[in-house]
Amino acid sequence: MAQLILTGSLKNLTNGIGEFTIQARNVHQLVGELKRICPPLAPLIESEGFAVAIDGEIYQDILFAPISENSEIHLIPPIGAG
Amino acid sequence: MSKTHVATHINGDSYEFLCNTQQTLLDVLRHELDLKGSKEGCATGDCGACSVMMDDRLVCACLVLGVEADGKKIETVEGLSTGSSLDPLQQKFIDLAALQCGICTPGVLVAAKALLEKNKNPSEEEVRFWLAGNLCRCTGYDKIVRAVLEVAAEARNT
Amino acid sequence: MNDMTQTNLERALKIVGSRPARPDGVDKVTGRALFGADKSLPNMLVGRVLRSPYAHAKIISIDTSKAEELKGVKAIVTSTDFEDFPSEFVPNGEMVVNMKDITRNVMAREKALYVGHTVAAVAATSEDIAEQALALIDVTYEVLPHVLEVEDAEKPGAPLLHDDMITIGIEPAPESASNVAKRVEFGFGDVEKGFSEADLIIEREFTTQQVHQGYIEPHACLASVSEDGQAELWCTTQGPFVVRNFCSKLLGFNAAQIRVTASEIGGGFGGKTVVYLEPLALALSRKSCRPVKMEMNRAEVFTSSGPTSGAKIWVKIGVKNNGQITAGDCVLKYQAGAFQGAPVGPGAMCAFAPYDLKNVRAVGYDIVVNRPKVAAYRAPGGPISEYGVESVIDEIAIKIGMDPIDLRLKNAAKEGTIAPYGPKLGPIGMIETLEAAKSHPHYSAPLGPNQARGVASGFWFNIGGETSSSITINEDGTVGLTLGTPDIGGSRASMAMMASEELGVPMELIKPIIGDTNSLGFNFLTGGSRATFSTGTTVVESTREAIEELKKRAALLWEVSLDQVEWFEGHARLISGDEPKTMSLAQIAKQAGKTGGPIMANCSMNVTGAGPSLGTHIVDVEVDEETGQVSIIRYTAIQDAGKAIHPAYVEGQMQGGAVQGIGWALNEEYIYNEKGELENTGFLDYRIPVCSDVPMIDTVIVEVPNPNHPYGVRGVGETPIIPPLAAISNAVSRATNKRFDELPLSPPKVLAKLMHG
Ligand code: FES
Ligand code: FES
Repeated sequence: MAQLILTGSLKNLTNGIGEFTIQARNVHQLVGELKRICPPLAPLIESEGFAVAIDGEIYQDILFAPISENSEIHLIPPIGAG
Repeated sequence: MSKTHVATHINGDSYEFLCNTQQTLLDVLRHELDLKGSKEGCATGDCGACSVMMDDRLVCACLVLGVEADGKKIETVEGLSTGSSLDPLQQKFIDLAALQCGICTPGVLVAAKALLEKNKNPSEEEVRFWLAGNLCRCTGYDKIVRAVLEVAAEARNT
Repeated sequence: MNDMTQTNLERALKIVGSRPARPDGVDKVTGRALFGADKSLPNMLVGRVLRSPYAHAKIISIDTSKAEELKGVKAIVTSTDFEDFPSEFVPNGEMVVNMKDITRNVMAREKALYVGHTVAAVAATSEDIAEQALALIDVTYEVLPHVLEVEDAEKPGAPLLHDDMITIGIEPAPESASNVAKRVEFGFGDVEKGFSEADLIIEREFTTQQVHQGYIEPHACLASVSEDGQAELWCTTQGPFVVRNFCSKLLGFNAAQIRVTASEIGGGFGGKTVVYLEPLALALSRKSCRPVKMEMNRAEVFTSSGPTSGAKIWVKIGVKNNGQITAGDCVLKYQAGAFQGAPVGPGAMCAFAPYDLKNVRAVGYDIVVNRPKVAAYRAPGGPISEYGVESVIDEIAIKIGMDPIDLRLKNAAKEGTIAPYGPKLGPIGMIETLEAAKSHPHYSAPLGPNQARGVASGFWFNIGGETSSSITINEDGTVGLTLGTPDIGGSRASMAMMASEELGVPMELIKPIIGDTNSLGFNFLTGGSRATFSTGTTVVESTREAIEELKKRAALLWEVSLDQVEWFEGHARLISGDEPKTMSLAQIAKQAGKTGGPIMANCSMNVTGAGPSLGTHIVDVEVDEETGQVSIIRYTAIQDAGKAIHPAYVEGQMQGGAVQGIGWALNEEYIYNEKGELENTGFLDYRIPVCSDVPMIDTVIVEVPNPNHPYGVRGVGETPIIPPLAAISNAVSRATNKRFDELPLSPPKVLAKLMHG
């Protein structure tokens, strides 16, 4: 199962818990899972434009980016364009 | 407000136009005569994007009045190439990538040509000080200065 | 994607990596190229903007009746002509924006929030009449106290810009409103523990001032809305699709009704990624049913477009005597301008990103002040935070007696390093750029009196994003490329080069153009160093698809199966068979009609896999102790480009970015008076580097390929503006034996420090 790792201020939203085990095959399912296990996180991905790093690769607004069995997932803010 | 009649030579052709006394030469070139090659970056004489030659003197067209062009000889970027052949400066700017966005390029080319007409063998420092009135925000000036120096060197060798 | 990468990197490249002439070169050197202000339409009106003279004021009423009566005035718009939006973040292309703020920045509603904030706009038959009309608009203001600096804005009791702004990112949420829009935090490990293990801890506060992108071309547009509601918009922008989406939302058009055509763009650097004049021109044109042209003058560009943040930052780094960093901690407070959205998130993410740290924390605050709303500027947020960190690293190197490059090498991030923002980094070139710096002759060259050398590194993520482009094979064997990302610095050349490389036909036969918003799928803007990477990826993909089609046609004509045909240097070639058979692209193209119709392909995707680009700069400065004047004597910029498609334009990005950084470090700053008015609204007082201010900028391109791009491209435009700030400050500090912690290092500031310490 994939690991979701939260650092910094995101942990404020999860009462300090920094690691979640997630059953999801893509970002779309990840959002669904987050809504269930940690509701405060889901809006970040859905509306505030958070990006998702899966095994080091950053996906911005890509719902069907694949997540594999032992992926490591991070939530990060979107990166601007200069 | 009555307009003033102005007769002038631009890039070797004679032009006549009517303009308000407060209209700048840049305004006249761009809006009355549709010569859009000269650019407006500031309208206050600080950027050089509007550089043109007036009777063999390099000026900022935004600081010259349209009426002052009367009886004068104006040269703009549109007059640099002859027929289908580019001026060596124009060609070198393309070859050395001395432009990125290109908005400063018309002014820089006119100014550089004015320099090379006065000084066949400018040093890097002379090029830099001569072009100090032509702002470029994209290139960091490196390739512009190299292009001007190379054209000067090639002209001396032919 | 990985297998195609392999084949390409192993194949000898013919075009990619060379320096051909750019397709738009002649137009640009002859004055033929049309920029934002260079287009006109028959029956056109001129639009002008009325701007707030106050930094913070309630708008009690706006009376336009006298202006409307003026002969020649055809339309006036104020906030009542724009729909309001609730405060929520909605996707706009790839950006997430708060439309409540955007509509208020385009046109002030309840309050004017900075000097220069748009209050009304007029379209008239001449500029003179438009100006007269502005003077006849009667606005009643109630002036409010204003606040310009983050340290004042965050104090309790400070004038509030938005009385409903509750800081996001703090648990529990604060009960009362403040000017702090958001708090972010990144990091991992235990910084306190890290500091307890350190032999030396350096802690310092830094200040940077607000600076502007300083593109030479002011914002300009030409809008034409016809009686049936169809709109054409010509404008200078980094993203025509983004403009279309903004304008359609703001004005209630649907996307298909507005066709946006990007003009040639005279510089952007992030500043032309949002809308200012465009919705005003459309609104005025819709009201008057005539084309409306609008241009900003230079003063308006400074007061009313989007510069980047000034900031206060605090950095603390602990280190062992052997140079091993044990912990890094920083707090960043960035000015957002009048509406939230300072680039403090990315600033915090990249602050320590060049390094491999076990204990790291970066906290950022996004703080509103009565200045124009900031927009992106080259590596948005990065130069500020990395300036602080790179300065402290240099101070540590001096204190522990270590070479500053060696200190960086000891702690350099590499493939597998966990970035401070969480994920593991792929292959990156930090070590490679440092080694290239160390072995560069510049680094060991002798220095003169009052001279010193500074170095600093920089990290930028780079991005991908939504991209769409197409390729057509013409009947005579020439090729058209339609791209959706405006060409600011030679990208048409790079795209044609990649297509040429794939097809094996000369680049001169390939004509790349920038399409309008009706000719392609959505394209995110040119910015974030994404064009060569993302558009390049779609160009390579669509070209490969076109090659498949060309092979199919050859197979048909030869009556063989497709697997019998391969593509080789511009020709289809029969793999087996008794005698060798080939058919050129032109021969296949000529018969395209008879073999199934015209050949074209397109590729639309949300490109991922951008690779971070690392850079290290070396600078020699000379400090005049009498005047405080700092001169740049020698400069070398070293950067990992992944792969340089057109090395001359990669060098150009590095040189241009470095010189923008030099301006940020030495001279550029927004200077406000106590009334909140910007005092330096022209290039005379807002002094960007001129030709005689700088030496040649030497460049070294390092190539650590990005495995996610067919040729290994990383994108180069952002990174080079990051290192100059600290490199120069470090050099000045070394030259004077005093640690400088404030930018710009303008003569009065340097002199003050030399005299008073
Ligand atoms: S427009 Fe004339 S100098 Fe800038
Ligand atoms: S090339 Fe853009 S300003 Fe000079």
